[in-house]
Amino acid sequence: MIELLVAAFAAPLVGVAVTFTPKGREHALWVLLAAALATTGATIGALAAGPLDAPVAFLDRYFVADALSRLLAVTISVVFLGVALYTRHRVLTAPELRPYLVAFTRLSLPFLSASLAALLGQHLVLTWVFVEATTLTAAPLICHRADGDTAVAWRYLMFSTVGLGLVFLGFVCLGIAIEGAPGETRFLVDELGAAAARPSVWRRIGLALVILGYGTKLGLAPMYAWLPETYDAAPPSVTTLLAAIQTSVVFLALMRVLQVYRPLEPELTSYELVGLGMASMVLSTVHLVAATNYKRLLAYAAMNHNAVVAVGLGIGKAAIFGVVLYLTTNALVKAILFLACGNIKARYKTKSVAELRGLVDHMPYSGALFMLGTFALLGFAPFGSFLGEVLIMGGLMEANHAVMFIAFAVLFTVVFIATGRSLFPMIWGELPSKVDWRGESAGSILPTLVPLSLLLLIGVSIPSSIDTIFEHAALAMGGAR
Amino acid sequence: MILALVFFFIFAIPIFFASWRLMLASLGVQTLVLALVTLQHAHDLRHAFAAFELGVVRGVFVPTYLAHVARSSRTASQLEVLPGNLLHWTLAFALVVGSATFAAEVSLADVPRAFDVAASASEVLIGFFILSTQKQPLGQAIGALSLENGVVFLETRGAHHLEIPVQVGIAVVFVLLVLQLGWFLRRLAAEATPPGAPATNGAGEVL
Repeated sequence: MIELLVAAFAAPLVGVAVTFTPKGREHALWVLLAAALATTGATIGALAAGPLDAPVAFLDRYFVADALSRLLAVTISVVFLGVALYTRHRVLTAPELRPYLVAFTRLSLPFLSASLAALLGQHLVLTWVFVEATTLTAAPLICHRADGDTAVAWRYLMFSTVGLGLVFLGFVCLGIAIEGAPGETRFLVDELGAAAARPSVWRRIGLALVILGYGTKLGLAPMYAWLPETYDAAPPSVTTLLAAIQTSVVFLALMRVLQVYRPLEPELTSYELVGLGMASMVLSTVHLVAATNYKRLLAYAAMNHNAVVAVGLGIGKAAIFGVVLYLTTNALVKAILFLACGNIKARYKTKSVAELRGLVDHMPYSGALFMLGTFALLGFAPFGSFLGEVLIMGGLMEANHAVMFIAFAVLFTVVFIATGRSLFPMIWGELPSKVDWRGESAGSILPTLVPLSLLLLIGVSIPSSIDTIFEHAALAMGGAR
Repeated sequence: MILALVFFFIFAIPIFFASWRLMLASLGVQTLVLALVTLQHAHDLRHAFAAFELGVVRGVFVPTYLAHVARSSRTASQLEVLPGNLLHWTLAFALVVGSATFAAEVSLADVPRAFDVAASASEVLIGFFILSTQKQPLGQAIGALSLENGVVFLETRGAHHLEIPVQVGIAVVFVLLVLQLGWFLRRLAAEATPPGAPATNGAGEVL
């Protein structure tokens, strides 16, 4: 299993090295696809290989393969495969994008490697290093095309630097809190417990800063302004990398911190996460109601999802199974929606909700995918996001947060109405005048087919093997089924 | 105590001179001073690497590289990282006082630590203040680096030190971050300034 995970990490880096050869440069698209396929195969193999209930630490215990990291590794590699297939489709249908292919390959493959390393990291500061590495590869991707918005990419970099700077400051404070502990203590999840258990004001300050910093990286209030503008301005493939992959990675990095510190500071963790989550839910809902651009609307929906996960994490034990399910399914939902958005934008050259009508008639494949993605986004059964939401709300009731439960339900209803009001006419509405659109090729659905299949598999039945994976993943994070 | 005061004043005094060169130099000198102090107590590889990172990477490479980028982007020499008016200076002073009060509160009887915390917190908060008030990319980069220096000071003065592989990782991503800041500064300046135009402040405003 460890060999497979190392292979999954190394395959994208080998791909990058190949692009520096003349042949590799010429065939960058195939290099991208081959690396994505190899990584997906290796992560699926690693998930199936070993027992789920016993985490395996490796490389001097800096990394760990437990149920959740292996599950998320499969999720992000499947999403990345979708992005690679989408890139292939776009380059074949729009040859003017071909000059950007090499740069995209050289930046997106290290992004994938860094994401996998961060998922597998159990050293809290080393994980932070890999999260920072994902940021550094993502920032130039946002504006790698000639028409890219450099100012937006710069603001993304600044917000990320501040957020991750706060996280590092938090770790410095947590380091002060464990000064004087007997022996040498490393920031390893399975080693920190005894040293961290000593009560200290530095522990509270450090934990609060880490949560605030990672919250900034997740686009939670108060420092959320970068998220909607970045998701809107970036090319759809890059938006998918950020919304589906980076978000999962940052959440897992935060969950690793909570694994150690939640039992020691339950109230601080709960109040801060629930507070940040609820504030972000309110803000994203207000923006969602006012959105007139479908990509920005989806960006606010993504922010809303992050807020829901933050609230679930804040509640803890009772909601963790829902959090794991919601996190996994939402990565897939965002991949489907943002990649479908890319097809729609490429065809209609607009992001305005008002200018689009009758997608299922004019773009049968992308329209249908967009419709299914919207259903999943809104939490319709049988998609896994529905079950995740129900479990998180159940956790709220179980933890006696009745007021929070009501606020949650009201906000969900407003989001449902606002999103439906904007997106449903796009899907089924009729155009004022008949337009003769060219037929859409079936190749356009290939990128989203794999995430959609996985999403339906999780949602419709949850086969017992997948259910076991989720159960062990939740248990690894201190949750209960 | 002396080190904390020296560290703080090396940063605080150049703010009044409205020059990006001086600001970048002050950030470099701050970490060079820290590197010298770390080197004096370097009794293992971790301390030696920390001193190298502070001195060579943060003390020499960062200011030299960013100054080179700013010069080649034809950035005008005048840059007020904090607007020169009573309101902003009062707010900055309040942040320093707030930091000192916070440090006294959390460090209790440990006076040297209280000074370290006050110096670090002041620089972090002023870094935030610069970031929130600056419109110019170079000014924002200086704000972000001030924040970084404040954090590094507290880390260096603490007794818990990270392992070599983690320190190397942090140094590598920091170098990549600075290289990327330079890449973005060049690109933003090129987009804001058409060829042959007079020098600007980096946000496209002609000075």
